[in-house]
Amino acid sequence: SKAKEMMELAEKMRQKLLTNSSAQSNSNDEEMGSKQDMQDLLLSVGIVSPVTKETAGALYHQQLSRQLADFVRVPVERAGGMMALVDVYCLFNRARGTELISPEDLLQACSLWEKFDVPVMLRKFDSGVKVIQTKTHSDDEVFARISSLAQKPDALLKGISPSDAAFTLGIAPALAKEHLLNAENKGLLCRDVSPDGFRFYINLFNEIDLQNIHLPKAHGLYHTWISLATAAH
Amino acid sequence: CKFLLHSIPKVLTCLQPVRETREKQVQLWKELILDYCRSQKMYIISLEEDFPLFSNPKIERSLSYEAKEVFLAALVSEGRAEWIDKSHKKCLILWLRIQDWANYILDFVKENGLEVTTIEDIRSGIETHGTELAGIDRGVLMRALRLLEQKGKAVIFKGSSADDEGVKFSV
Repeated sequence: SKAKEMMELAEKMRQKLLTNSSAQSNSNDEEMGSKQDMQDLLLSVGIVSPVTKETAGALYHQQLSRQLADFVRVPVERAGGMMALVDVYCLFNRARGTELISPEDLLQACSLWEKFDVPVMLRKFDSGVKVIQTKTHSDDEVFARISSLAQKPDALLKGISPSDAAFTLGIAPALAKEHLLNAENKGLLCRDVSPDGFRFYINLFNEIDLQNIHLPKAHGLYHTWISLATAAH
Repeated sequence: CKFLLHSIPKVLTCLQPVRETREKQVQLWKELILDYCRSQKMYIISLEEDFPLFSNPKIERSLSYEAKEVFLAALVSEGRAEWIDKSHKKCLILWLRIQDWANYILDFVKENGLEVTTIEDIRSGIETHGTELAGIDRGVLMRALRLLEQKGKAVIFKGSSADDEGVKFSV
């Protein structure tokens, strides 16, 4: 608990240093002197890095960011245009060997991509899952493929599972599920949950004309569905 | 309606999480429930008992309790249904609103020249065969008649037999 007290004290001093450094023109020599003393004290205790090191870190992240963009392009394309961030983290660190980067470093490197013209982007799904995807791998393109898959006769009746979508889209099942959920959120698909799991269907609710519930649209999707359903039963 | 009842898609029975899709689903089920009750002349839905519309053996699917509650609650909000009990286990379906019933009865009475009749005759008399009135829920009928009474269009009175009441209409 003595160590804990020390830690707390050091942290208080560090915070004080931080707030003082952001204060305006405290260019009083005396104050600068005491600040330097504090920094030396903290360094010798070896607990916390002083403020100046953090400023230098910005360049580090820029370089890392470019390196990462170069590195991920091929693996992500090979994975169908999208790869989970955790997988990228493992791949990248494995490639680097001993100079491992932290998850925070990785995230920061990805977030810098917005400023550069790189062919990859970080993308966060509603569920919180983060992926790296190639910019050509647009949502609209994926929706079009999901939509056409969901309208095949089999899929109209039985729906599609994440594995079905994974197979068609050529990506990992977990990511395929994210795409399906995304499409559902946009109103393209609807769901059925059963003991067998999640299955997604083209959103039939869009097809039903509530003013004329008794009259299925003559050439609509619902009409097709009905013909298939009656044939199946 | 027969198309939907013939093969209700599984997705219809699964409460949709996406708001817009859910709204359409609720709308659809409200219509289904009203249509079904009207055609089958049903007035009460009990959530804890089986209800043909809510189960489809063909697809081996039934509405969950939660789903039934959601759809019926939506009908209640719209004034097309009423909870009979506090615990919301039984629901009265007003596929015609009380006001609409009152109008229907007045029209019926005019068309058939029935100035004086009994409650039971309105519910099951020969003239009512094939009309919406056949088999009307007694409670609903009484409320409609009382509404007509308030408007001075009818008077409810005790009949000759102990358990029957009569109505005199002034059309």
